[in-house]
Amino acid sequence: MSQPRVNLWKSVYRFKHAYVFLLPLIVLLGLFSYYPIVMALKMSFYHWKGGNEAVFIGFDNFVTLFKDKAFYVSLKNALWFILFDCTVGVLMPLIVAELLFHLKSTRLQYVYRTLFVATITVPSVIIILIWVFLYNPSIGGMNVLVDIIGISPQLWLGGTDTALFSIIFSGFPFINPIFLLIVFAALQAIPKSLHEASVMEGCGVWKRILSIDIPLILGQLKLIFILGILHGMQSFYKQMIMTDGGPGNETLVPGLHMFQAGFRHNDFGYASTIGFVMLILMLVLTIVSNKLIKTEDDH
Amino acid sequence: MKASTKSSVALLSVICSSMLLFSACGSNSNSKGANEGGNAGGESKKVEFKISSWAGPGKKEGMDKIIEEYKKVKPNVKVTYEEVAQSNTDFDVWMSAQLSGNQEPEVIMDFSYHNPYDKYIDKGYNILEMDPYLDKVSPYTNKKWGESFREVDLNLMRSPQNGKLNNVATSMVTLKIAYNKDMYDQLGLQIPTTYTEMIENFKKIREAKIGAEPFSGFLKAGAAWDWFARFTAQQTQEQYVPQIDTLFKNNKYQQDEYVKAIDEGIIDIRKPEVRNLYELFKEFTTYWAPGAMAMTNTEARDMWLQAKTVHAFTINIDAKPFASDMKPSFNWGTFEFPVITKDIAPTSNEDPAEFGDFADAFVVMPSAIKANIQDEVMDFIMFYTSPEMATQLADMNWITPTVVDVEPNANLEMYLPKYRPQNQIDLNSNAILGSVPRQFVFQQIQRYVLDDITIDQLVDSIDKNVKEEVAKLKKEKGWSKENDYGHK
Amino acid sequence: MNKNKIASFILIFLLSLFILFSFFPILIMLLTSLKSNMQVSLGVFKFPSVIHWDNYSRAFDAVLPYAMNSIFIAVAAVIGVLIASSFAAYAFARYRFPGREILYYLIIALMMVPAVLILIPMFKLVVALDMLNTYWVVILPQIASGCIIAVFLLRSFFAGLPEDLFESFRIDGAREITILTRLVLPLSKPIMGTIAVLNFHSSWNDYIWPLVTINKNALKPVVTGIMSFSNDYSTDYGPMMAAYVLASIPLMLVIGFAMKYFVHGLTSGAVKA
Repeated sequence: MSQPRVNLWKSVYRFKHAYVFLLPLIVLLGLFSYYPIVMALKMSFYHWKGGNEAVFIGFDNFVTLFKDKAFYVSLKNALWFILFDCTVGVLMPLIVAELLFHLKSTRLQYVYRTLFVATITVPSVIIILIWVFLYNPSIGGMNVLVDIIGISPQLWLGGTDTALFSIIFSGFPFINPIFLLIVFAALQAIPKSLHEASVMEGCGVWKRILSIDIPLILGQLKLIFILGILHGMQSFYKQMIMTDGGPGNETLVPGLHMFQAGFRHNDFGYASTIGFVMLILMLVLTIVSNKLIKTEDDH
Repeated sequence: MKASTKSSVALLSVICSSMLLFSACGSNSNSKGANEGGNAGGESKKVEFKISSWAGPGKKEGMDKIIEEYKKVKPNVKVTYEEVAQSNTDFDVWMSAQLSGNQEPEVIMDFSYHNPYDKYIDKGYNILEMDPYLDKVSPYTNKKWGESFREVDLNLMRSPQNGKLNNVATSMVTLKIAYNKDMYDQLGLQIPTTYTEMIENFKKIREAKIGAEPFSGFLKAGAAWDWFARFTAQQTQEQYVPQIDTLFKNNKYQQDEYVKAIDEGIIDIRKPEVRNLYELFKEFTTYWAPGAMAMTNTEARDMWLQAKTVHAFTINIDAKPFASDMKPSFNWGTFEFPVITKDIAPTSNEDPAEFGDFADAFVVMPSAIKANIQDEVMDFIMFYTSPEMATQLADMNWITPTVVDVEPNANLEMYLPKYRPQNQIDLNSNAILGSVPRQFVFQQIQRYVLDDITIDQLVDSIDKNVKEEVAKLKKEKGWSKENDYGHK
Repeated sequence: MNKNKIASFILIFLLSLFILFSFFPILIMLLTSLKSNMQVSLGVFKFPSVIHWDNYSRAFDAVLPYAMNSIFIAVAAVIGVLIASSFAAYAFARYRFPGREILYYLIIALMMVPAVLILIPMFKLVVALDMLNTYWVVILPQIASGCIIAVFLLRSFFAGLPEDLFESFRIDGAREITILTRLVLPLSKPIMGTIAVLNFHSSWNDYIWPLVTINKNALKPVVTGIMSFSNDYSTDYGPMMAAYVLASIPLMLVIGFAMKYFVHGLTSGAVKA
């Protein structure tokens, strides 16, 4: 009985460095992340309007949530955002990073890299200003553009069938500078000898990318993939500013539903419940994709 | 190995101690309430309080000016004003946090009507009831303070939940329809006075194909719908007020009376006079520039400024920019929302109605007032709402004051409120039932306008939603027919 | 030779095309920063007939008083994140200690909690800690939230380093802290640079939390100045964009600095080892 416990303590002692290394982070997160999060999630079991009064109601909020049609609609919409973030959102930084990586001139590489990263300074206000203007059916440019390829004028953000994809498309060209840097840094970390060997063996560029680069940077790609899931599920700023979830519920996402429940309808207990369920869904998606994409460092 | 442990421990202790150190250094100055050192005589009593709000055009300049004037009258009172956020949404977040940590200011400037109840009382916080002060004599007019306002306005400031005056609004937002005079002249159009005439004008604009849409509407947020719902209800549903106002009998309906009226079938979305208004709204929107569903009032206004539309909604806050840096490149004018005639809505009283919102409402948070300085705070508010100060503010910021006998700025000519409503009648938006049913109605309206659902589906879904929300409210508040909705 | 030239031409063409698309918003930001309100209302893409340079002087006055606060906060947050996360990531990547998996998922789970929800509990916490109206009320939560992604980035980077590099150090009898500071960190400059840019940027743009916790004008961050051009009734896009442009200068310096480390990545370090 006591043998395994002794072993556990022994191995804990053996890895004391690991714990010491982790300590600063754990202290910080404990105070500024875990404590408020636990306090917030606790409120999902309360009827709480955000004030000083809260009444314990057990699972009532969860029951309401499972009957809430708008929540299911928001999940369906979030799925489209996740799908996009996890495919195009991973692919585009990868493509650009490979292009950059294959540039011979280091000076050009520096210039292009810096320019791409410089786009991080663009405030979302201006992105929204540009796209809202482009999507304006009578004075914007999108209807002129689609007219060239023979598509009739659309309502874009104001149309039932077009609103969701109009918001998704406003991410064009889908190159997240930070993701680009992550992939690029990973490509640079591949030992030069491997690439030289592949050239010697006469491998083409495509083969080299598929058989050397992608397997070796899979850890980073997986991270971007997971961040894509989280972003697709949580983000709601664009939806809030561009359509406020409309028309009807066409562009409602869980994050916006939660925000509205809390700050518009004063139902912070219910907002916490939405947050709780979102957390569980994201955790499940992350764990599943973590298990599905096998990489070197998971043993 | 040892050294590595040591240095990590050292690092950690640096982090921890610096945290403690700096949090201790954090000068958390919450100088609140009165300095109780002064004697009870009152004259030398030093009083200090803070007013907070979100940013607005001229808001800070106006408030600072009044505070400066007040200092001359009451040197012992120190009032400070702070714009703690840029938008109302951010202010709400700020206030939610401050209240949760007991850091709220003594006074805030917020929206009027149902807002203070929803945002504060409903969450369990106290705000000062101002009804008793209406009977007190204001030292700045030597009359009862209540006489500074129209009775009907005070009634509209009162909370529809408990019927009490928990705020006092200092300015009004008036809504007009702006039109492009050049285009009117070009097409030989007359300013419409009835709804039918307005639609006729819209039709002519469409037919003329002048490259401009008849109207700039916006339906991303609910304001345009709310306005329409209110105007039309004031004209066509006035007869319901005495039937609803059965519990308090104060010529105004409260939430409990409203719930009762729904139970009794007096308020029924299926009645033709209500249903018709939804159809009327849809007809109106068919003349709007496409894409209104995702537009804000700014985008709609910009289209009008670009002469891509002939009409747009406009509020008195537009008056100053339209006279200066946003001056339209064409001649323009305004008219009030036209009358709905009996041939369209048989129940119409054919009285023109116009009303926007009340704004800049003082709300006093007793929870933040540690010493008893309520009277001093109210004295400042009485000073602010004295005709002399209100005139200064009106001249400075082109606002429409709620204070009686104050001449608005001459530049505001196109935005003067011509017709005042006698009551807030709003049977179409369900706003009084709460923000959830209100949003539901709005979303259904969006669907209906886009032809995703028919009028029957619209009416059915709203009706169902109303019944559900009423059941929820009755359960939450313990109202029933038997206990006369909490009045027994 | 010829084939190579065509290939690099295609490379440059594609990259330029992508740059053009990505850079378009920056160009519009610069264009808007020179316009009056009316000019913005008359068309986002239109070139202004009269250029309003005075937007920049208005922006400068609005941004300058807060600039040092933001720089101090951002630098402190970046340093804090880099230190705390590299230690933790090293532990995750190089040790198989008991509880590793659970801790890993516990930290991952933090990324999934919406910031909206924790605002009020967090506010109550900092009130209890008496931290309101100090720099630390902003810096410490920023370090905590910044560490979450940083730990994962660094962890997968550290784990990808070839094992034989570590062996050679261990044979020399190097201490763990030496391995981290002499071997791992120098090799990780690109990813550290990425983390620095990411956290500097998010600290720079943090809006709601400082708004709620700092009521003292002397301590407010630069976003306060930028946002002062916008309210519920109107937005002065011209000066606001000018303020964004001015406020992005420190960030651009950080980016330029961080990007330099990408050339001296693993390739040079690995050879030395």
